[in-house]
Amino acid sequence: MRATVDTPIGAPIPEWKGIASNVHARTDREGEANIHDDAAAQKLGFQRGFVAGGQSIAWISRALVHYFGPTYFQTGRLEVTYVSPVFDQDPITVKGTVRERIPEGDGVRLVCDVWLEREDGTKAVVGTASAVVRG
Amino acid sequence: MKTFADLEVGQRLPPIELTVTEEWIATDIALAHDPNPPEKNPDLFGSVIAPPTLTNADFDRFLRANGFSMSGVIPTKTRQEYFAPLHLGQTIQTTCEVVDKYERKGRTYVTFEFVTTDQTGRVLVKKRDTFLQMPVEAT
Repeated sequence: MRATVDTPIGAPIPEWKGIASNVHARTDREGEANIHDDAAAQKLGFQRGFVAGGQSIAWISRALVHYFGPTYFQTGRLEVTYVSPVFDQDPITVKGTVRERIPEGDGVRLVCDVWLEREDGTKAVVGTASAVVRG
Repeated sequence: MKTFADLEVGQRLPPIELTVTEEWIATDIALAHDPNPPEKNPDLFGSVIAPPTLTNADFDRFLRANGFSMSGVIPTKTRQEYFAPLHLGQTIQTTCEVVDKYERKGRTYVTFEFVTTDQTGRVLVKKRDTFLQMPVEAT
């Protein structure tokens, strides 16, 4: 279901599911502690190399692009914090709900809580997203 | 190699000019495995456009271009605003300014502001990305 000018507070954003893949693990940067590589990440105290934050944002953006439609490219805003790592092959789900409706111009800015969670429900990225929808 | 400790608030790194290519768009869309990306529908904005996340790796581009080590660099938060889509074939210019820097538990946090414009100077994307850099000796 796509966002409309009538979407009420509390309405959910359709979930976006996928499997994370650590495409940024690479060995072509000699001497660099790449947090996406297992060995380097373990030296820094992490369980293993983790998926790039940019990929998490890409997942969240997929949910928002499909939910808001073209207006997201012109009025979209996203503000998130990375709260825990996502690892290679983690099943992930992007979720969200509308929490506020703010009149803006000839439309309404729908402000949503959004988050990306791992299979066990641990939130990895949390924040808000919004865009202006018009009738 | 320079580290975050060498950055100062107010510092501007030289702008970077890039062209939005088909390969760049495809790579970004592939990150999220979208089988039906609306960006590929030319009816929406008159041509194929890029995902809003296309410029997410700006920090990497700017830091590497200016001799900074990427060792132990971890993103902590991002704030992004989109004003117009980036079109296939479009030339874009992005500026980078250090807008905040602080220490916490021995780690250096830096917030960068990136502003991407088209060739007329119209703002397309504005972002503030914060990263920490683990102490180099730990990496």
